[in-house]
Amino acid sequence: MEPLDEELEESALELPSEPMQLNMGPAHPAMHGTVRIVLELSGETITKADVQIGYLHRGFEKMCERGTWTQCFPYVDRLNYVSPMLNNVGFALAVEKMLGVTVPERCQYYRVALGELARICDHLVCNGAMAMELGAFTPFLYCARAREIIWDIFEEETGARVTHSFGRVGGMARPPTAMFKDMVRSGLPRLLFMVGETEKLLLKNRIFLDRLEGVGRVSKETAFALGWTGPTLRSTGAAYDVRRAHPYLVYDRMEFDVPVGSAGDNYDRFMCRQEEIRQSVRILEQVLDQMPDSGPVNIDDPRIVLPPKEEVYTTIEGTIQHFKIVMEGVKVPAGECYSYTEAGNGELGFYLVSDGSGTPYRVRIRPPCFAAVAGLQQLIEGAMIPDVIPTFGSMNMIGGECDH
Amino acid sequence: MSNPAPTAPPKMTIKLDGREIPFEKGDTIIRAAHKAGIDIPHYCWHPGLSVAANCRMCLVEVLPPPGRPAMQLDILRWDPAKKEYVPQKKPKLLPACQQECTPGMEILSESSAHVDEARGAVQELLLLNHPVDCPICDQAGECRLQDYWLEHSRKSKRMHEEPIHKPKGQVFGPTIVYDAERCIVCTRCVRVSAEIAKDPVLSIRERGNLGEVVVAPGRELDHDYTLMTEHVCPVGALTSADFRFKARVWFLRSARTICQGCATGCNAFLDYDPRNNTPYRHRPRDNQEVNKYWMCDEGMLSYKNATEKRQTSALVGGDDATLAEALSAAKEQLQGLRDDPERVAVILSAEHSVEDNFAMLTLARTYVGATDFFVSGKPLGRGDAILMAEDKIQIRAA
Ligand code: SF4
Ligand code: FES
Repeated sequence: MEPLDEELEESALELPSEPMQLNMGPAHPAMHGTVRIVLELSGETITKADVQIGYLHRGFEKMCERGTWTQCFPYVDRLNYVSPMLNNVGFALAVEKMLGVTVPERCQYYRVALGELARICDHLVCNGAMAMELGAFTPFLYCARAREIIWDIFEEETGARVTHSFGRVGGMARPPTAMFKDMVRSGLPRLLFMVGETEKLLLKNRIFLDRLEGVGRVSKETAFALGWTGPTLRSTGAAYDVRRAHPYLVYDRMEFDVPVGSAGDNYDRFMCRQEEIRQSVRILEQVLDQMPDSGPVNIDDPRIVLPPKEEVYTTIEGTIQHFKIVMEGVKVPAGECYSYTEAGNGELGFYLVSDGSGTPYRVRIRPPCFAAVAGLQQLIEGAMIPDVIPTFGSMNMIGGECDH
Repeated sequence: MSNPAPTAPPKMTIKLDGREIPFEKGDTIIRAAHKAGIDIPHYCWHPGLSVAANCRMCLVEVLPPPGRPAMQLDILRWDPAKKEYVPQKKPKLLPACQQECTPGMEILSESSAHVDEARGAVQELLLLNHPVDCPICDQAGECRLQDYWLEHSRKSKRMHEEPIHKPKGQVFGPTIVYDAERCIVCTRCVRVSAEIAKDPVLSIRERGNLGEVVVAPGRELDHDYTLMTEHVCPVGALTSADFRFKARVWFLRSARTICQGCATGCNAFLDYDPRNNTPYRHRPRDNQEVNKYWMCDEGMLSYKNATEKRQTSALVGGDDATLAEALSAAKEQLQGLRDDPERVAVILSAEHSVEDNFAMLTLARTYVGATDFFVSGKPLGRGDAILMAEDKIQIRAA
């Protein structure tokens, strides 16, 4: 038998082709945080990428501007809902900066402790989810199991596992429980064990490494130009950490390293987060040693802090104090401030304006992952479709935080 | 040679916390400050009433004239270091609501630690027997006790005995309910009745923490200005039977309005809830040329006319109808009247705006061809020499 195409000229075999458009998200399982990436493909290679955020939009800033300052806490909980405590503390510090007050030492330690626990959760979820999206489901469960240890502590301390609304202007909703230190002390070794197990499962896995190493590379200069902070910046070798560069609370008394990467690729971002978990554990151990077991947690100013509930129910002074703060809000002096802390994803900034009333005049947030996601396009253009998944995962986009 | 310019009499001033403020002869310190826009904390003083000087919230430190010693009091002060009382001196404070200004007088209010301490002490005293009522009290949110506690005291009381109990929810008359436990016995309500309503039906019985307001035996609080007693009450002791438990004031917004009740046209605020667009009360708005600080009861309650007893839909032959039906019915009935204008008469109203009446007149003249016009309006009513005009048609306000 003769071949069918014997008579055909060679060029006629080339089919005419044009670039293919592909929508990833907003409902793609790996595009958590509801983001949509419009890809232009040539084969499997991405020639153009358009990253579109805004599918999760609640108007968070405007919501904050209609209640009292204290009523913002449940909203800031839902910024980075993977580590709400860090947002709570960040916002409380911002309002306290405007008021010109500093919380008692015990509270500062407590805030650092809860914040570091939240940071560990944040990194566990980010790395665990990234592994899962690359097909490694077990490590994700290990991470979730490790996070459970922390969530149990949070539940005990705040009554809530995820969104605690636990921060208050001038202190915290409650003092540490009697069991707090013991729970953390006994939880940390178990947590570190799980983290080690997770790494054992992943870091010798060729498939996992191939999809991370050298993928999604970014230079230090580009990272700076994009306004990156947090682990995404540090993976490029820049050791900028707000806790070290501009210490707040009691971070200046803590010994810890700022882990940095060198290549700025997915692998370095993964490893920076893993190492930061260990550094957070180090900080926690120091906090537990230094934190006083008694003493006030809230500042002593009836204009700012609610009275104990028993007093509200039994004395007129307590009722008045409660009433004034709840109905009218804490009166924050007119002015503006920018206050920033190191959240899970980097520098979380609050720019606040007050007109002197009990309601914020303007609440503006600088979400760290907003800048990271803004740089995603550069990282994936020229890469292959499968590279989008780990690269996007390592940006740790959190929809609530990226809400703009 | 030019004539020397006529020199104005030198302005008399006092110095309050280092700030120079002018005063006129006879002004008290609090009034001079009030005119200059400075608020000295006070309960019993009211710019429209006589001076009682019984609450002591307005105490200020008046510095002695140069070269003269200050008036001092010997006191014992607790010294926590020594753990005993030590004799000390402190200046005698004066009530700003009673003390007349003299030129060059120097007064410390916010800037004196003694004044600050005194205000805290007065506040502690006033709250000593006060019930834990804020959650159920209509005054909460606009109560001086709440405001001043946070501004000037911020301390818990040191008395732990059972507070004195007094009658609650006493009906004083058709419009006012009185709670003696909340009363700070400032006598503002007594003075409003005597001085504004010219009906001294209220007075105080007992003294100190037993004091309370009573209605004259055989009488009710039923003059024409009873709601003014509630209006001036700085706390939640007097409540209006009409407003009681109806709304929480922090949900209300105020609109400036003019009372529609009579030809006086008292200036008022209409407090309404923006969530359901419902008005809840009137409050007098100060206007020295019209109503000073006051309003009569009828006017205070006339806010209801905005929502109650109003014709809000069209009627045809007394039955509800849509606007379209009413218009076509009117057209039908008014058609062809031009040839026989005697069959129609048009009623204008003295209570409508000039624009409404003009529109009606134009319609009647041009399209209907009417020739007979009448004007209606509310009849004359009861008036008094205080605020109420006999003429009940507001549009005729001077
Ligand atoms: S009822 Fe009100 S206005 Fe009258 S004396 Fe008591 S506190 Fe003063
Ligand atoms: S205002 Fe009450 S004593 Fe002066």
